[in-house]
Amino acid sequence: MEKSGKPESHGSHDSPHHITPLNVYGRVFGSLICLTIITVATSYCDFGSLNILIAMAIATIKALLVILFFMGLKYEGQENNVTFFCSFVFLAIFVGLTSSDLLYRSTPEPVKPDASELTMSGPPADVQKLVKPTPELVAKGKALFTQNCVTCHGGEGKGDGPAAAALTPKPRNFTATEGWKFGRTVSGIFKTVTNGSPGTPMPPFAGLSAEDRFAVAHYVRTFMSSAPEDTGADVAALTKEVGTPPKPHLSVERAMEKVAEEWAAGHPAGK
Amino acid sequence: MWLFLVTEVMLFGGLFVAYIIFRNLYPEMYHEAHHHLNKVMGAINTIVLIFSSWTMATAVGMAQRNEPKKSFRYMAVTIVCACVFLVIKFFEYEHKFHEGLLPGGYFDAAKNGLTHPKADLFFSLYFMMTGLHGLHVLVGMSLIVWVMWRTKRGDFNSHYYTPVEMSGLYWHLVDLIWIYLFPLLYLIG
Repeated sequence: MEKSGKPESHGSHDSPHHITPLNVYGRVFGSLICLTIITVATSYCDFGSLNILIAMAIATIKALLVILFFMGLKYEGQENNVTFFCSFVFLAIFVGLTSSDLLYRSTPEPVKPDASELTMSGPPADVQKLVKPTPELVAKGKALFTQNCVTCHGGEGKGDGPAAAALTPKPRNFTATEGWKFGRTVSGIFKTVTNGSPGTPMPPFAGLSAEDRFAVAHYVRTFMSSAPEDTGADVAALTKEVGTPPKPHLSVERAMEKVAEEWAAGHPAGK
Repeated sequence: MWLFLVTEVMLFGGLFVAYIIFRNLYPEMYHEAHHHLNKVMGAINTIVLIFSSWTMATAVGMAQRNEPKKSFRYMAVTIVCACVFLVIKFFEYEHKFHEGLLPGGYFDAAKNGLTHPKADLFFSLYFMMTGLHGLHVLVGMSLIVWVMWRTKRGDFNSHYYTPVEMSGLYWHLVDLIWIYLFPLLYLIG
C-alpha cells in the first residue's frame, strides 16, 4: 500500500481505508508552517482592509490542507465529503447573510428641514410647579408606575415585584428610609428615574418626559410615611438642569411629509 | 463522526458570527484591543498545534501500518505538544488576569489603559472562543490518552484502529479551529 503516487480511488472493497504515505503528512506540515509564517509576517504590514482578506485566505488554505490530508477527507467516501462541506456551506450562508446585512444596512439620511419650518417644542418644563405634588400628577405617576416599575418594585413599592427575585442588588423598597443613594426628595428620585442607578439593574427612564418623571417621583413618595422635602438650592439646581429649553425641531407631521417627498424623489413612477 | 464534527463547526460558527457582528459595530475597539494579545505566544501555539496535528496524523498512519509501538510514541509527542499549548495559554491568561483584561463586568480599564467603552466585549469573545477551544484541547487529550492506553494493551492492528482514527479526527478539528482563531483574534485589528 506504500504508494507515493496518486492515491487509489476510495471505497474499493478490500481496502476501505486509504493509507496516506507519510511523506505527504510531512509535506503538508511543512506547508502549514510556511503559511503560518507568511500570515504572521503579513500582519506586520498594513494593507488596510486587505489584511483581513489575506489572513482569512491563508487560514482557509491551511484549513483545507488539514481537512483534506491530515483528516483524510480527500480519501473518504462521498457522504462524508458532502456532510462535512455542507457544514461550511451553511456556515458561509450564516456568515454571508449576517455580514451583508451589517455592511449594507443603510442609515437613513437625517431629514433636512428649512429654517422656516422649525418650531419650538412646548415651553421648558416648569420645575417650580412640577416639584409640588398635585392629585393629577400623582394619578399620572400611578399609571406610569404600573406600566414601567411594578415588575421590579412591586405594586406596594416594597421592591418585591415578580422580577425582583432575579435581580442583584434587589430593587429599592420605597417604604424603607435607609440606603437611598440619591436621596428620597423629589429631585433625588427624579434624578434616579432620569439616569438610572449605575451598578444596579435600575435603568434610566430618560425617554419619559420631564413631567412624567416628576409624576413618577411624586407617586413613589406616596409609599413613604415621612418623605423629606427638597431645599430651595435643590430646586434651583434642578431648574437649571431640566429647565433648559429644548432645541428647535421639525414637527412630526412635517417630518413625515418630508420623508415621503424624499422617498418619492428617489423612487420615480411609484416604484 | 463526521456528522459530529459538523455540529462542532456549527458551535464555533455561532461564536465566529458574534465576532463578525461586533467587529462591524466597533472596528476601532477591535483594533485597540487586539494589541493586548501576544502575537508571538499565539504564533508559537499555532506551530505547536500544527506540529501536534502532524504527529497525530503520523500516529494514525502507524496504526494503519500495524506499528502500535511507533503509533504510541507519536501520540505521546502529541500529548506533550498539547501540554505545551496549554502551558503557553495559561501564561497568556494569567497575564490578562493581571491586566484586568477580563470579560464583561470583571473588565478593569484602570489596569490596562484601554479607552474604548466596549473593550470588555472583545475579551468576552476572546475568553469564550479560546476557553471553549481550550476545553476541546482537554477533551482531545483525554481521548488520545485513552487510545494510547488501548494501544499499549494491544487492542489495535491494521484491521481495527477506528478509535485511533476518530481521536485523530477530533484532534485535527481542534487544530482547524485554532487555525481560524489565531488570525482573527491575534493578527488582524
